[in-house]
Amino acid sequence: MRHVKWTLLRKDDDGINAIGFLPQAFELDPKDEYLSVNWIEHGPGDRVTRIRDSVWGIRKARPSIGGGGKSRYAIGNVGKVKEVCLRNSVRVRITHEPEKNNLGHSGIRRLPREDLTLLEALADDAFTEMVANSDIPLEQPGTS
Amino acid sequence: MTELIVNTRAANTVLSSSILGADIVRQIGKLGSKSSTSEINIISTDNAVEERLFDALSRVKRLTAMVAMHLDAAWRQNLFSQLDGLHDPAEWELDDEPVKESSFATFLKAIVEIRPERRPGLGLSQAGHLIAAWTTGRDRLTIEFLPNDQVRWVLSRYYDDEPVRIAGQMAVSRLVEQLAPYEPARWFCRESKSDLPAG
Repeated sequence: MRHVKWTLLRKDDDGINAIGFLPQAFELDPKDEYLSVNWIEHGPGDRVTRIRDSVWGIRKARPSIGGGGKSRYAIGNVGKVKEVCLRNSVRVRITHEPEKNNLGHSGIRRLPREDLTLLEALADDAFTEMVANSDIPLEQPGTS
Repeated sequence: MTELIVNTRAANTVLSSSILGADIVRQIGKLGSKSSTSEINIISTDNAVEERLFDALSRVKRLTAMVAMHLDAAWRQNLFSQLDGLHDPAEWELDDEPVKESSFATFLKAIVEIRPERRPGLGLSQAGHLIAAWTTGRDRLTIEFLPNDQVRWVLSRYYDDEPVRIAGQMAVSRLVEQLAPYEPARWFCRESKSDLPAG
């Protein structure tokens, strides 16, 4: 799972509805060694609970995201991410990079910089599920 | 406390008067010349974010006014509304970069040249480059507008359920010719809008 801000969401003609992700949503920042993602299955519970806990972890690590707004989370299957990259001749490595407040934090390593075709494939084929940040409630003290 | 960093870049406008009318070329040629010689990035404290975004938006809206006669009113209104949405202070993070004038000038040149009936959904890269995306069914076209009249684009077209993906980077003046083999009317014309995925 990766947090995607409004500026990097694919929108409809009117620019109002988010209909997917721009390839640039998966582009490495010059200062980053790996693409920052969250490992949903890291925590306990059913899928809905794990998604919620992942969002809470990301919000703790980046408090500026907050609980509302128009940002989304892109969810992709690990196997599919690897497969899409391999089809584009890139063998990525996905590593667990736990942070103090976000234990499911992980990274996609060996992603080439500036390979727009691969980024488009990730946006179109690999990260196909979208969750709105505003759909996930704020964490209540003592919940986790 | 506010700190200013000023970057200076040389203007480099590449447009062909054989493709566009001489008058349009002259007007568009003026775009970005100011921005590319005095591109200002403002690193500010939290309470200056709104001012920074307001300034960035004002600059690109002024650029738009210079070619307003080539954009219909609804198109222009939607463009401004999308730009405002991309610069919402409530969603802004300190390391985000507002739209660069030099990127926006490239966008305007492309739009005046392509004259798309369908408006793109707009985005903004981490570096402040405007991104325009057209989506028709599963077929996607994404163009990132770089400074100095350069565009970086990628498309996905599905043939018998199999995607073909092509990417390129070139001068904006060559964009139309480069997209031609992929039937860009499917993205730019209104009648091709069918099948847009639900939001």
